[in-house]
Amino acid sequence: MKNQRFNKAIKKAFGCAKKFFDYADILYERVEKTEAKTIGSQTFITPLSVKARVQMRFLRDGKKVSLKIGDLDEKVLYQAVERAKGLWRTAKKPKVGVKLAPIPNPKRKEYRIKPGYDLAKADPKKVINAVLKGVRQIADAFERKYAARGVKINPEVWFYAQNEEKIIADSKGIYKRQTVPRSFLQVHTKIKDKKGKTTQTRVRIGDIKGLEALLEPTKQGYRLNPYTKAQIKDWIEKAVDLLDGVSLSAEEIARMDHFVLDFNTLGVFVHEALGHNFEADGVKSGSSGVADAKGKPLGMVAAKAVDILDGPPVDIKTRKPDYSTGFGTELIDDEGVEVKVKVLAKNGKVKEFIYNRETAAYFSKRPNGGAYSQLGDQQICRMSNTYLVPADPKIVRKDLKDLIRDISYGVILQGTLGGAVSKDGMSSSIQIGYLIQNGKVTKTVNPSNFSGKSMYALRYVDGCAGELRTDDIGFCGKDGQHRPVGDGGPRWTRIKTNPYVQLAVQGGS
Amino acid sequence: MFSEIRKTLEKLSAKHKIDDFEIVLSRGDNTSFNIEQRDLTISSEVGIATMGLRLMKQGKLTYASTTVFDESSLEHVISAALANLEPTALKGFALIPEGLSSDRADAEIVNLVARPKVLRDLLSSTVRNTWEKGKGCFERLNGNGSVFHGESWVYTAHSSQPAYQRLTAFSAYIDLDSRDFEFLVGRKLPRIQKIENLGVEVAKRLPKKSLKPADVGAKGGLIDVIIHPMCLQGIFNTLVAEQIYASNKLAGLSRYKVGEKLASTKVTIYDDATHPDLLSSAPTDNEGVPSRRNVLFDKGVFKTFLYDAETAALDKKKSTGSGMRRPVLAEDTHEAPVRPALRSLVMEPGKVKVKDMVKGIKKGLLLKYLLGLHTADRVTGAFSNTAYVSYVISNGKMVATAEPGTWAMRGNALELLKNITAISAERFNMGTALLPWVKTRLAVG
Repeated sequence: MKNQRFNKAIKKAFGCAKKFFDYADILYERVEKTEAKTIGSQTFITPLSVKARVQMRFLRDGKKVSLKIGDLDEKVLYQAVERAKGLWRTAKKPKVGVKLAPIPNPKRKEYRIKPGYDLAKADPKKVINAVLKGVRQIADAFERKYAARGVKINPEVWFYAQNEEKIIADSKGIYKRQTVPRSFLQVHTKIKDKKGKTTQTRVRIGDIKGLEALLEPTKQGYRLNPYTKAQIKDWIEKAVDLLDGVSLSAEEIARMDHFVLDFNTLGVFVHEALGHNFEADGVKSGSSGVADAKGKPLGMVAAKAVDILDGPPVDIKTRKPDYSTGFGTELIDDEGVEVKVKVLAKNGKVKEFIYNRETAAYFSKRPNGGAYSQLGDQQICRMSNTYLVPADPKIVRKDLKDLIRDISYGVILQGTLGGAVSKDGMSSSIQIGYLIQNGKVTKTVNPSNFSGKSMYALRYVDGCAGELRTDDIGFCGKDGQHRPVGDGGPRWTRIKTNPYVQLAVQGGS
Repeated sequence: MFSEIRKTLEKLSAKHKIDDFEIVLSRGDNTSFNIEQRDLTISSEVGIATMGLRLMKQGKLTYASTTVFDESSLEHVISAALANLEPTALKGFALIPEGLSSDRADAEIVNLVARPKVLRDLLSSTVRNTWEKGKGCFERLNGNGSVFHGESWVYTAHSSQPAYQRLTAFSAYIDLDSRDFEFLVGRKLPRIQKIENLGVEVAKRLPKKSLKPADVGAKGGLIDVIIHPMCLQGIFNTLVAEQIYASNKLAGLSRYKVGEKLASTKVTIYDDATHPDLLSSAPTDNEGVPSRRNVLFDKGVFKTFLYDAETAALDKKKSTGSGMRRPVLAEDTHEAPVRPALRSLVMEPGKVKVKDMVKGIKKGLLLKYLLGLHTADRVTGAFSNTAYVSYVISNGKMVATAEPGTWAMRGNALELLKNITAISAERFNMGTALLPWVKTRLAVG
């Protein structure tokens, strides 16, 4: 019924738009979310949040007008078309007229990822209770374990589960609809010992799945699933480890021969240092650090032995994509283009950018499913899950022990609180480090900051070990729009120290 | 719009036997131009509305939020919310005093929202001037200019009328080669000449070269740093504010105590949501408590924690008018929990000019932005982040930009406040803060 009403409104709006514009399209997005947060001593629960927005785009004679409106209502859409006409008259034609590349596979209409345990059928109270109680029980167990040190644990929880729907339609008859679930849990643990020393760690778990991403059913309701429990325990333990953390001076860091990055740390590095530079709108505006404004690569961006990919996670050997997982995974982007695995760099060389329809047309390429909008905003080029994979089996080691065996002085860097990027540089925070001396782990190292020059930092990758992990998850902010993303790489990757990466450890002189 | 929603909520409130409700409703229109080289692309937002809602029933509290306002949608979110009531220290929502309406709209901006051609021509002049007067100084120009006109209402069920505000906003920024940028923001239209010369100022000061710390012997050492107001706001809001929020005090996570000297005697800072020049000022906070000027530091002495209604009740204090919907990270503001928040940060200026601060430095940095400051340690205040769009100072002159990705700056925000040695006479309005440049020392990693 609701969709019939929407379709009628859309059809009528396009009917009006076609009388004036060459082309018009519409993106409708709606999210229903259950959310809970604990902050300090307070708990905030929103059992249901509903939000919906519409983005309309109009083209005529190479001039584009974008309009964000509140609802998919016949009257509102009609007013939007009238407003767009006025804005179009104000707009100036750009040097290169705006065109949109065609949408591949125009006939397919429905796309869906089905949740295992559907939020819409669950009792929000039982779901929220399972999450909050489950985390508190783990924290209480740690307080008992470290009672002698007087450890007090304050885990701040941010949980949400949501069902997302989007409709993309255009004046040429395209109509596509996607429904997906998404679930997310963050536990930010703050610890204080009896001496008053404080530390913190953060863990995130999430996927393009229903409640099964975090929970399992019980007779009475739900409880945290074993994977979620293990992740939370691991990072609370690390917060306790940090009570004994040491700092490292700039001189000590200068003596190091290798940094070993876990998939989280590497993932943020790949996302910030490389991924953003492959977004075609950034390339076009001249703000990419890996290519000039015409799309001409500026040089190698990583070691020859690695590839950089964006899209759903792939099987590391067959490179077959798995669309059922990945926090940033979707089946179609916000322009209705089916999402492809994008090979951003092949053997360290720039291969492909992340396009929306506009930049694909500008660079004479096919769109590859990289256009996303935050609820009614404009569709800009965005990453989904961005990760490094080995391209040469010679760099793959048996395990972490084997990977650090020949490191005389280095550091393992684990976990991240996120990062940021500029044109040529990036910065990523590291939650915890472990000092390596003569092939063995010796001390816990304080949180630090890892920064580098975008083009050069990953040219020095010389080894990796373990399975592909793309579950370092977060929210990428670009142009004021947040979107869920994943990133990662092999479980462990090592980088030879070089002049283009810097490490600064908190604390000390 | 407000009247219709109020009526629907009163109907649903009676139906569900709700004792009290609180609405934070906003609605706005925006027109903006994205700038890329010489091209301007137009976009607009029309009638974008959001609502955060809190309900109380039988002494318990629950949250809801929506952007869809028909009766069935409101019924849907309210029914779900009422099935999940939680204990609270609140006895009820605030009674909003009468007469708390403010019209802070600027007629010129209202006109620009409706007639974007004027804004287009103004921004075209900015772009043309930058290319003409900054010729040879840069290759790529990016930017944006936008105008906003909106209304907001805060209302509680037992109040006779809402706290209402009509406001406008202008913002423009120009970025050159991703090496430096400048911006203007305010609730009134700035002087036309200021807008037209926005990019010229950046082009003229942009040095040709960039330097790494090792190039000037700064690696691993402590150097003099002038912190730009934008960077200072980032450090304060991200790290120092965590010590000031009563919620953290109650959780035992604040290191601050009222009456202690926790900053340099040069430092006097307010949270002043009554300040007429700041966009973030409003008649009340999101709980309907009238806005006021809270003195945070008086000559270095810490004066007060910031309270919302619930933390005030828990700590047996009064709300400081600081109850705002403050996001944890990426959620929309109307979906965020109500908790203590900084609203309009204002710092008293000093006496020295910025250019004289620079002249007095032999080896140092003018630090405009720290990449990824949101990742710093909010418990201890420690940070180690990379400098972005910053300037290397050598023998009293800004000689180069800091080479991207090479200046890892290490420090602690709480110590930084204690070690401020100079404060500029000039202040910069960032819309949500009015701050000077300050001088201190930081380690280069």
